[in-house]
Parts: sequence; structure tokens; C-alpha cells
Amino acid sequence: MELLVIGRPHVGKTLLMINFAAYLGMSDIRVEVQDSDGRQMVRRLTLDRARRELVSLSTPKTAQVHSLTIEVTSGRQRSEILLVDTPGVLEGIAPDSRDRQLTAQTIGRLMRAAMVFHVVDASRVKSQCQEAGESFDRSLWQFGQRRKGYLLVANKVDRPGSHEGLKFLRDECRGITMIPISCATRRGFRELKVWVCRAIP
Amino acid sequence: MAYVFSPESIPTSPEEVLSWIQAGRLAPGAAVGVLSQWTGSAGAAVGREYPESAKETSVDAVLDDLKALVGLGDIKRVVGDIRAFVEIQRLRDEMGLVHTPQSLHMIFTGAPGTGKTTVARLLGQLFKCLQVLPKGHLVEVERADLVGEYIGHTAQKTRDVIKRALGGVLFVDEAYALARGGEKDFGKEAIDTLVATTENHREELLVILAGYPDEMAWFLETNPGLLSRFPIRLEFKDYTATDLVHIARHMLRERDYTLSGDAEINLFTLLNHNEGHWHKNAGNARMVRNLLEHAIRRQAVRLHARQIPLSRHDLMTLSWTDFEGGSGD
Repeated sequence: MELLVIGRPHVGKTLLMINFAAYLGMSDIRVEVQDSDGRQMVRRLTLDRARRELVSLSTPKTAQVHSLTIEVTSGRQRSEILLVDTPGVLEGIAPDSRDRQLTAQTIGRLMRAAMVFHVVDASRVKSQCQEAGESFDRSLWQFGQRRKGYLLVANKVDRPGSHEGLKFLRDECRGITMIPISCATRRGFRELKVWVCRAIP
Repeated sequence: MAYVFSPESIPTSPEEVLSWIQAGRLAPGAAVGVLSQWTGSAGAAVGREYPESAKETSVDAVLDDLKALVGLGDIKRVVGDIRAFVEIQRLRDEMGLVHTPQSLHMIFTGAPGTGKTTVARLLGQLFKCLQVLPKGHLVEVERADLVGEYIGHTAQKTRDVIKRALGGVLFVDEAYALARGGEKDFGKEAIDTLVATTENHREELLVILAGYPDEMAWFLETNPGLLSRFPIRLEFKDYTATDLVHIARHMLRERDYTLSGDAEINLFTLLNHNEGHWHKNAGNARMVRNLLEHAIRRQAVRLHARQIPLSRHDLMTLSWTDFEGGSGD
């Protein structure tokens, strides 16, 4: 079963994935990297090393689709879930053909995944959405209203300005489940796990 | 079509959307917009890999799966009966005849390794296809998932589990453990809650209590209400020697091994000779698996010691020498 993490660049998709794995009690992660020709490579990283190597504050680091397998246990039932981290999707048509290819790959995965975490940056989502008329985020949550297994994750709620962001999201996305979290302060991961347990078909 | 950048045409399939993104004709936001139009109506394009839609199996397919299991003659017959009952009830319903409310809760008794869990899973699927259960998933629990740590905790915990199982099958493995703690144990509370809620949710929940025969008999005695509330009792008999050899062959085929002629004959003789004399918890199919796994290790040792090149046939064949000496326990 696939859980896809999708969103714009710099909303914290990769750190969410690593910290969620950490929350579920994994000490190291096996990152399966799929490059554009579809070859699979596996790297084994400890969580600290993964944070150092896969996450950056300035430049977009995730240039490929990563995935890692987590196990969620509730009661006696164990479900294996493939967490898939995607490169950030840029607004508009990207000038670079490689970026476009990655976007196509990401959206292709979106169609197949059983569960989707749509990550937004709570501190910036309001301004981002108001700048662009038809934004990627907006069409994604409209898409989410129509399908099962879609969750809006409002990340970075520890940041200033996130309060208005959350209010904006609540008004905008009525009828969509939203969970505010913060990867920096590790807030909200318990709720994420509960949601995942329930959403397992 | 405000989304689409070349207004004269719009993409007609998900594949086309993806190639348009790649070609730079469509922005990602617009692409998702286009794709989401298909999400609600045509399920074909989106959610192809949803386990649910993939599992659109028919009743016959599930029954075929059940038939493919080795042995279990009685169980197969009872399941066939239940199927007939459910379908006839539905037909009666359509004709406007009185609908007999059905209680399909079950008790499975059987020695370890006789296929209780496997059958429970198939039953969940079957009832889903027959539209008795809305979801047909299996929630598998044991004592620790039901019994709490302090007074009042148990009922809440049990109710949570039942809530999770609504619409599907709740399979309580080693159910007798609930009554084992004696009078003051919280296990009793779990049984009471279970009994109460199984009555209330009869239409949307199927509860299966499973356990070993002797312990289950004692368990049913401890709570007089249980027996009448679980009207269907399936007894999983120990496998016969022939069944066990079938199982062994099946397990080996899955692992790309075969039995040599003498191994098959001797294995059958061994199982046949001991039939009815095994320790009651010897493990049936699980015992066979352990035997085979041991033989596979012995075969590896035997082949490793040989200096001549090994053929595919050598690597695949288990001979009787690999089995001799038992499972080494």
C-alpha cells in the first residue's frame, strides 16, 4: 500500500517522512531511490544521517522519488506501508524538462497511491494561494474532496504566521480532514498515526 | 476549461495528462484539476491499485480459494450451507417474505496449525461478496487487545476494538484466555462487553472466537450465554497423513523444491504411521513446515560437502536422508 507525500517545494515533505518513521520507532531507514529511468537503488541511513543528507533549508534537495517501508501495528494487525516522498511540485509549467518529467512522475504516483499526505506550509500557504489564482495546492485539495485516503497536513505550525494560515485553510477546505503538525517540534505525529491506522483499507 | 493551456483540445486519458505535463503543455495545478474530474465518476482511471477495487472478487472466486485448501471437508460443507442460507434469505426478502434475522457468529475449535485464521480471512471476504458485511475486513485480536489494566478500562478497550471491526470480521484468537484469570480477572468484563455488543451489532459484525478444543470447551462452560449466542461451531479436525503430504508438496512447490521418490514414500509412511498418535499440539501443518525447513537446511549441508558441480536437479531435490533425524527439536 502506498502513502504518497506531496506538496510544493520547501513545505517539509522529506523531514515529515523521516520524523514520521522515527515516531513509529524505526532507528534507521532504508531509502529506496528510484531514478528517472526506473532503476532502484537502496541506501541504508540512520535517521540523523538521513536528516543531514536529505533535508536542506535553502536548495530543494529531493530531486528523485524516494520511498521507504514502514510498519504500522495496531492490535495484532501489521500493515506494511510504502512511504513515498516526492520532489516538490513547482507552480506553473517548469522551464526545465527534467523538472517536468519529475512532476509527471509525481502526479502519476498520486493517481495510484492508496493514501495521500498533501503537505502545506501553514505559515506561508495564505500568501501563496492569494498570489496565484489557480494554484497547485488549491486544485489538490479540490481533488482530495473527491477521493478517499486524502489528508491535508499543515506543517510548520511552530512558525509565526501559521495561525492565520490555519484559519485560512479551515475556511478554504471545508469537509477535508486536516492535521496541523510541526516537524521541528514533533507535534501532531500521534494524530497522523491514528489517521493512517484508520485509513488503511 | 480554464485550466488548460491549449484550449482547442483537452487530454482524454490520465496517460495523456502525464505526457502533457512532461511536454510542458499543462501546469501541475491544472493537471490535478483535470484528473480530479475523473475521480468522482469513472473509477477506472484513478485508484486502480486500491486494494478494495482490486479485490472485486465474486462469491465463486472466494469459494474456489476455500476449495483449494487441503482437507477441511466439514468446514467447506458448512461454509457452502451458510452461503446457500444467505442467498435464499435474500431471495425471500425480494419476494416480500418474512426475513429471518440471522446470527452468524461462530466458534472455531481446532489444534494449532489447522487453518483457523486462514478460513476466518476467507469468510470475511465471502460475507462481503454476499453483502452480509459492508466491509468484510478482518480484525485479528487476542486477549491483550481486549483486556485493560484497571477497572473500567476493559470495556472501553473492547468497545474500541469492536468499533474498528464493525462492518467486518472480528477474530478473537485464543479466546479461552479471556476466562483464564479467574473470578477477579478483567477478562470476564471483556467477555460481557463482547456478548452485549455482538447482539446489538448482529447485522454488521461477525465475531469468531477461536481456540484449542479442550480449552474452548472449558471456556464455553464458564459463560452459559456464549453457547447460544454463537450458533455456528466449526471443528477443525487434525489433518490426515494424506492431507499433510499434500500440504508438504504444496509448500515445497512454492519454494522451488521437490521431494525425491524415496523421500515422498518415507514421509508418507512416517506421517501415516503416527497418525492419531501425535501430541495434541504437535502443530499439524505447522509441524510439516518445520520438518521441511529442517530438511532444507540439511540438504544445504549435504550439498555443500560435495565437491562436484551441482545441477539444477540436485539443488531442487530433497532426499530422505535430509529428513532422517526428525526436526531436530
